[in-house]
Amino acid sequence: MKSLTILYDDQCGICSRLRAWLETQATFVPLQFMPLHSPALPQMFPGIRDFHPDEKLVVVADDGNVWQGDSAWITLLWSLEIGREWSLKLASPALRPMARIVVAAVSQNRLKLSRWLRLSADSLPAEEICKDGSCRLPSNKLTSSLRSNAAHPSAGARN
Amino acid sequence: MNLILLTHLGYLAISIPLTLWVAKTLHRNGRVFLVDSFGGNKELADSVNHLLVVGFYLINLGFVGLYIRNGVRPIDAAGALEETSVKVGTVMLCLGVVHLFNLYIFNKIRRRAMLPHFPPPLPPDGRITVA
Repeated sequence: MKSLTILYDDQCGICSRLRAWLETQATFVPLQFMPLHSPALPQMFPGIRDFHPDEKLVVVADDGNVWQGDSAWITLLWSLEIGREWSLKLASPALRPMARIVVAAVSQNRLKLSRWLRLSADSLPAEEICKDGSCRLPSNKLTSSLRSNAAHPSAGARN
Repeated sequence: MNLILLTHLGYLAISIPLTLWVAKTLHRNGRVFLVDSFGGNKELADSVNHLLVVGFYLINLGFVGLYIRNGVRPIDAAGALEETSVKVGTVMLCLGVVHLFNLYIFNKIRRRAMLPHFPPPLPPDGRITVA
């Protein structure tokens, strides 16, 4: 395996925070991140919807192997230098049922948890962006976009 | 030479060579383990091996030294033999525990060195064609 792509829910605060944390971690296998709501997803990974990436975590290896749910979490842990030892423990028959329960609970309640912890997501759902009748970018993205436009006006014009 | 001194000398005559023998065994056979753990780096393996054996000597000879005063003072030859036997037995158990702990550390180091080569612990749930 040469790389592992993590399909993460970019509209969920906890998932976006986790992605940012994972990007800072030392890994045995290079990690790539693919937002779940990216329009490019079906073209890049045809048939991925069969694995229900909107309900549980899905990771895809460069060779096409797919892990979902608790096995995806354990595989993700396996890719991290600090997590490999734990991934082997969690994959054992003694701990796997517990891992399955915890992962299912977190996945099902990820949006609720994100709201409680006040974690902002990488992107907002369309109905959130336009709920006051005016469609706009989330404020933090808008600010950074304006800042980059001010610094590089030509780049802003291209966008 | 009185009986107590004889007991002490007997105890030291068995315990010290026993410690040296276990340490030598650990040093000789642990090397292969460590060379493998450090990816063939023999210099590093020898250094760690030597440091571990030094720790082993210090703990065990320290224990042998401290334990010499422990126990009852024998009044006859049978008592002296019993006293020596109990002391040597305790030292052997202590050596065994430290030796197993050393093996545990060797194994831990080796396992950590092998971590990058472990395959994913779970089989994939399916397969897709990646574009």
